[in-house]
Amino acid sequence: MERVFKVIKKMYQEGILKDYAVGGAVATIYYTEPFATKDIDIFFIPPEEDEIIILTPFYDFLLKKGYKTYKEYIMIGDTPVQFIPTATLLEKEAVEKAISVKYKSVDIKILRPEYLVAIFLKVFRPKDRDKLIRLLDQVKIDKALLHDVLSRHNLDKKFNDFMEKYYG
Amino acid sequence: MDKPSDRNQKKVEKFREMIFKSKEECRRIFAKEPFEKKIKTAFELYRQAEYLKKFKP
Repeated sequence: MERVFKVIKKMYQEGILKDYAVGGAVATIYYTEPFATKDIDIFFIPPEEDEIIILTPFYDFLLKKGYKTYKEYIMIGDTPVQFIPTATLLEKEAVEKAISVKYKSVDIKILRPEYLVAIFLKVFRPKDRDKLIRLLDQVKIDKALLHDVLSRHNLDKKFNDFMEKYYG
Repeated sequence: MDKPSDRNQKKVEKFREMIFKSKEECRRIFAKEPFEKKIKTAFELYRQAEYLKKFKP
């Protein structure tokens, strides 16, 4: 696992990843109790040329280093890693506002819980709903920040509906 | 006076409450574990879940 974070940090330092943050289950687990997950999701802001997203430098870097692809993953050691280019303003903002934490000797960036809540709410597959509930139940959420994020990204109604259904 | 079945039901309810409370406490303890340990546990849980799936009828 440390190897994964070292590779990502190297990509960041070499400018291959403009900016990145760990998201998904691993980021959620940073704040909550551990639960089963099989991969690491890395959200990254890809470089753009004339508003066209360029993904090749980052794949080239990893493949040249000998890392193999498996389905939608890149295997770093025995850990499947999914690199997700930020597709919405919410995801982009989440990466920019990510916090820095330590994993053993490596500094890594992790999405803030308020942004995880917003992203899970937006995507809202059953597994996202599960993580959303874990975060709301177990983590001290900055409510002012959460409501600011939700309202700016038009998610406040969806959040209120969700709260009514699961906590009402 | 309560019927024996009612008393039993109350005892069961009390026992269930105790279990849920203790599970919540465990969650809080697990959440405070170091990040490295939590990630290790998360991947191990996945491996175990995949193994157990082999025994589905």
